[in-house]
Amino acid sequence: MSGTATTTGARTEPVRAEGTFGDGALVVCDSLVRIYQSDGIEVQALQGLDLLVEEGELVAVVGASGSGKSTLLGILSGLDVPTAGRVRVGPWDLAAMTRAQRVTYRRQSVGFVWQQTARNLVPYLTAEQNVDFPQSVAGVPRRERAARTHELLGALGVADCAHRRPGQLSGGQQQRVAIAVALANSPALLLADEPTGELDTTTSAEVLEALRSVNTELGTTVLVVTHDPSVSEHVRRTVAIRDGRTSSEVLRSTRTHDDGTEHTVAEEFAVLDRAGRVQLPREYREALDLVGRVRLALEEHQVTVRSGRES
Amino acid sequence: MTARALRATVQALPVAAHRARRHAGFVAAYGALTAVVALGALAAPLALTRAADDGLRAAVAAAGRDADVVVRYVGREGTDLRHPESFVESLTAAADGGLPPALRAVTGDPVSVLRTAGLNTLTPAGPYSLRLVHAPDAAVTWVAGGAPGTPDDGAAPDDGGSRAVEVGLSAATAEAMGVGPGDMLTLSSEVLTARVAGVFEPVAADDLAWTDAGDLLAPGPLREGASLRPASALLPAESLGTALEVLASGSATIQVRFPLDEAALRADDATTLRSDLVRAATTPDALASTTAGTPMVETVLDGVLDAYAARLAVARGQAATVLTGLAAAGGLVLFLAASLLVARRRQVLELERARGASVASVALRAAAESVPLTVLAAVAAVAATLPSGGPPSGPEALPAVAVLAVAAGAPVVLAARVAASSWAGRRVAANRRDRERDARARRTWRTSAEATVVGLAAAAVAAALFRGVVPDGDPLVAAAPILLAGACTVVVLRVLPLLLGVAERAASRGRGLVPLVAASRAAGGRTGVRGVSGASAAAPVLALTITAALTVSCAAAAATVQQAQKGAAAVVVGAAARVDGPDEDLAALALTPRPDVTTAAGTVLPRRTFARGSGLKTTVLVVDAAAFPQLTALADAGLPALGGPVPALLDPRLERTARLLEPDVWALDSTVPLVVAGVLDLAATGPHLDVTGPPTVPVVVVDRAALAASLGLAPGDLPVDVVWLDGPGAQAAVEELRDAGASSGTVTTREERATGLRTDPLAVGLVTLYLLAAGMLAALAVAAVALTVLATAPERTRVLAVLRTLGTPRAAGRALTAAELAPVLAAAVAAGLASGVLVAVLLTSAQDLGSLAGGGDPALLVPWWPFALVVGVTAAALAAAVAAEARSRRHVRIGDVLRTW
Repeated sequence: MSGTATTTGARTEPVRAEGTFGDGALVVCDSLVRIYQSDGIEVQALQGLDLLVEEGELVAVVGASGSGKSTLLGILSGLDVPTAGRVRVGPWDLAAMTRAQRVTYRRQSVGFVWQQTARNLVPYLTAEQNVDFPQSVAGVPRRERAARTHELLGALGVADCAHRRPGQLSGGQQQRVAIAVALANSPALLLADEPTGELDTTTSAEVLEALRSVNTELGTTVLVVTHDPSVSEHVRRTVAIRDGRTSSEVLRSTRTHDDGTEHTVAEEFAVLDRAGRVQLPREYREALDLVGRVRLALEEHQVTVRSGRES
Repeated sequence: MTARALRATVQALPVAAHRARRHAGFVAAYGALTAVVALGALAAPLALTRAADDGLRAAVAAAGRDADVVVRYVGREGTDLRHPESFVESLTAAADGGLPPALRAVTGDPVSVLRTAGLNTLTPAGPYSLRLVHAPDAAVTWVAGGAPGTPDDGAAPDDGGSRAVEVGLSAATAEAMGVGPGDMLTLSSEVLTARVAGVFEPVAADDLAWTDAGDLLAPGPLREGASLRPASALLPAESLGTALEVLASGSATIQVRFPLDEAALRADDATTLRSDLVRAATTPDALASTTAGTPMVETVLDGVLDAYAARLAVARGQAATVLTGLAAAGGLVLFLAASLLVARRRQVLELERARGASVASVALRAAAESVPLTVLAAVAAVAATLPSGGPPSGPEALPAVAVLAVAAGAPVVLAARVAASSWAGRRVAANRRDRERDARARRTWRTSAEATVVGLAAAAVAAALFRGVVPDGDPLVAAAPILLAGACTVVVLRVLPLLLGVAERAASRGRGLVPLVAASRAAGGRTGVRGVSGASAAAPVLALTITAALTVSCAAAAATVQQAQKGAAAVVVGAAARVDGPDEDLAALALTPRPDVTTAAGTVLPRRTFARGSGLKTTVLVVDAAAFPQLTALADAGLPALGGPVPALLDPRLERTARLLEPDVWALDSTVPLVVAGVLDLAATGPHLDVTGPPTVPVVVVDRAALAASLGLAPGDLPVDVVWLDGPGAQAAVEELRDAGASSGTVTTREERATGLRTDPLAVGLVTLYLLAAGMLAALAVAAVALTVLATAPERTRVLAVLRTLGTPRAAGRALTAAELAPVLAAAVAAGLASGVLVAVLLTSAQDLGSLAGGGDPALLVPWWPFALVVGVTAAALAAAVAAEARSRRHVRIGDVLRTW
C-alpha cells in the first residue's frame, strides 16, 4: 500500500496521503483475511475481502451461511482480529489495537446488535438500566446518562418499556432496546448481525425502520448483516459476500419517471478487487462451462471471458 | 486508574447487586458453603487447641503434686527472730513476688510449711526422731486437750536451762508414742521441752496444706540404716520463736508450695512456662531473701512439659496435615462452586465486555459481590466458634484465611478470566507451522506444570521421610498428601482420555446412541466436545482425588493410633498386670503361687558403670529370663559358677565396648563379670520389658537365677522392684491384692493402662480430628460431585434435546448423565483411594504416631470403612444428582432449549 499515513498505536492519524485505498471512508477493509483453526481443521472465513463504507451509509451485507459475514462483523466490532490484511474504522486500526484501546474503541466508536434477542441485553436489568450500563462503564455522568437513556428509548419507541426487564418485552421491543443500548455512547458505526432473524415480518419491519431512522436522524453509519431479502430492499447499498470475498454489490436509487412517479431502481455490480480479481456467479460459469483456463479479451469498453476449451 | 475510570467502575457497581439478586439462591448457597468450610477450618484447630490444653492438664494431673512448684529455703543463721511469725510470711512473700509472672499465673496461693531438723526424744513407746512443724494453713480439729500456744515457762531462763514450747500431736502419732495432752517430751538432750497441749485430727487429710506436712498425721516407717522412727509435732506460731531461738534458724527448712492451677494451663504457654521455670531454677535471685540462704526450686513440671511438648509437636504436625488437606479440599470445592457461578454468568460477562467493560471493572463488580458475601460467611463462622472460646489466631487461623481468600477471590479471578478471554482480539498465527509450534509450547507448558506437581510431591514425601515430624508442622510435609493426590490427578488426567477413547470406539461399534454420546462427552478433551474430561476436569478430579485420599489417610492414621494404643499398654505393663516397688513385700508377692497366674520378678539397677574404665553408664535389668520369650538366650545359657561371668544381653550401643573391655557391672555389693549372650534392642523388641529411666541410657539384661548364682545367693535373696503377673488369673490376683491391701507398690493392669491411653485427651483429640476430618471430606466429596453434575448439566440438557429430536426417550437422560460422569468420578475416586493408601504407607513411619499412642509400635492399619465411605458417598451423590437433574429436566421444553442454544 502506498501513501504516507502514519499511525500512533492503533489510532491512525486523520491526515492521509492522496491515493490511499479507502481514503475518506469510515470503514476500510483491505485484503482482509481471517483463518480459524479447530482441532487441526482450517477454515478460511475471509479470503482477502475488500470493503469501503462511507460515513452516513446504511449498508446491508448478505451472503450464504459460512460466507464470512459474521466474521466480518466480529472484526469490525473489535471483538475479533483479522489474521492478515488491513481494517480501519474511522481513526482506529483494528488490526493493531492494544487491549485497552480495544475497550475504548468498543465504548466510543462502535455499537452492535446480535441476532439472539436474549444475548443483547442483561436479563436482570431493566431496559433503562441496560441502556445506562454502557454509559456507566464509559464514565458518563449520571445526569447525562439519564437524559441520553430517555432520549434513545423515546427515539426507538420503547420509552414505555423503560422499567421492564428483557423477559417482559416482546422480541421486537427487545431488539429496539438493544439498538438503544448499542447507540448509548453515540458510536459512529452501528453493526447489526441478523437483527431480524428471530422476528416475524411485522416486527422485522419495525426493527428495520428503527435502524433506518437511526441512520437518517442520528447520522449513524449502519452495517446490517442479514439473510432476510426484505432487509436488503430497505437499504441503498447491499454487499454480497461469497467465499470470504465481496462478490457483488446492489445499489438502489430512486428515480422519477416522466409521469412524476417515483420508483426504486436496483443495479447489481460485480466487484473487481484491487488485484483485478472478480467473482463470476456460478450460474454464469456453469452455463458457459467456465472452469480452469479461460480466455480474456480486451474489447472496446468491455472485457470478455470465454472458455479455454473454445477453439 | 484514572479518576474517570474509577468513576466509571463505581457507577457500574449497582449491576453487581442486580446480578446477586438474580442468582440469590446460588449466591446464598455459595455463602453457606463458604461459612461451613470456614467453620470447619476454624473448628479443627480449635478442637486441637482444646485437646492440647486438656492433654497438658491431664499430663500435669498425672504428675500429681510433684508438678507443683516448691521453693525451698533454709533459714540463715543469725536471723532476727523478734517477730518469728513474720519469718515464714516474709519468705512466702519473697517466693510469691519472685516467681516469674507466667509461672505465677498458673499457680494458686502458696502454702508454707516450716520444719526443724529431727530432735531425738524418748516416748513411752520408744525413741523417736521428732520434727517440729509449723504449718499455718493446716486446719485441724482438737479431739483432746486444746490448741498449743505459749507455755507458761516459755520465757528465756536465766540459768540457760531447757526452754519449753507447746505442740500438738495427731491422734495417730500420740497413740503410737503413747502420749497425750499434758505430757512433756524432752527434745534433743534437754535443750527444749515440748508440752503436748492437744491431740488433733485433720479437717481434711487430702487438703493441700498437708502435702508438705503429711508426716504430722502419723509416724513414718523406720528407714533403712536409721535407728529412730520419724514423727512430727505441730508447732504453733506462739512457740515458733522459742523453738527457732533454741534450735537456731539455720536448722529450719521452709517450703513454699505453689499448687499448679491445672485449669489455667494452656498448651500455647508451655514453652514460656518451661523457660520461666528453668530460669527460676537456675538463677533464683529473684526468689532470694535476706533471712534465708539461696532458695531451691523443686518441681517435675519441666520434665512433664518437655515430654508433653514432644507429643504435642507430633500432634500438631499431624493436625497441620489434616488442616492443610481440609483447607485444600474446601478451597477446591469453593473454586468449583465459583466456577459454576461464573459459568452461569458467562454470557452476561461476555456481553459486559463487549459493551466496553474493562477486565478490572468486571473483576471489581465480581468482588463487590463475593467480598461482602465472604465477610458475612466469615462472621457467621466466627460467631459459631464463640461458644467454644472464639476463633483461633496466628498460624492456626491460616487454613480458614486461605479458604476465605479462595471464596472471595475465586469468583473475581474467574470472572476476570472470562472477561479477559472474551473478545480479546488474540491473534492466531496464520502459518500452520507457527500454530503447531504454539501448540507444542502449550503442551510443553502443561508437561512442565505436571512435572512440577510430581516433583513437589516427591520432594514433600522425601522431606517427610527424612525430616520426620517437625515441631509445629512443616508446610511442605503438611502438603505432602495433597501433593501426592495432585500427582495422582496428573496421572488420571493423562490416562483417562486414552481409556475414554477406547470406550468411545467401543461405543461407536454398539447400537445405542446414548453410550456413544456419553463416551464422546466424557472424552471431551480429546474430541473437542465440551465434556467433563480434559483440562476443565482438573478441578473436579483434583477435588475428588484429594477428598478421597485424605479420607483414607485420616482413617488409617486414626486406626493406627488406636491400634498402637493397645500395643503401648502391652509394652508398658508387660503382662496382664505389673506391680512396681519399692515394696518390701514384692519378693513375697513374686514367690506366692497363685492359680492360673504366672509371676515374674525383676530388679532395676540404675546408673551402673558398664565395664570399669569405659565411662559408660547403663541400667541393669535383672529378670526371670524363662518368663520372657525374647530372653531365651539367657535362659539357655545356664547358671554360672560362684563368681563366674553372668550371661547378659546387651544394648547394641554397648556391644563394641564389650569387645574392647572386660564387661562387668556393680550389682548389690560386688562387681559381677558379664559374658555377652547376645544383643537385645529394647526399643525394637520392647514389649514386656519396660525399664523406668531415661531411654538414652543403654540397658543390660541378666537372668535373676544366673546373677544370684554368681553372687552365691539364692534367687529369692535378690531385691525385687517389679513383679509381672500374667495368665488368666492375673486380674483376679490384682483385685485380691488391692482388696487385701497386700502391696503398697503401684499396681498397673494392661486394661487400665489401655483405658488411660484411649482416654488421653491429646490422642483422643487427634483421633477425633481425624474422624471429623474424614466426615467433612466425605461431605466435600458429595459437594464436588454435585457441583460437577451441575456444571455440566446445561450442555447435557441441550445434547439430550437433540437426542430426543432423534427419537431418544426422555428417560435416557439419566443414563446419559450417569454414563458421562461415572468414568471420570470413578477414576478420580480410584486415584484418590490409591493415593490415600500411598500417603498412609509412605508417611506413617515419618509421623511418629507411636509417641501419640503412648509408645506402642505404630504398625500401619488401613481400615476398610473409608473405602466404603468414599465409594458409597460418591455413588450416592451421583445417583442423587442424576435423579435431581432428571427431575429438573421434566419441565424443560425441547424447543426452548434448541432455540436458545
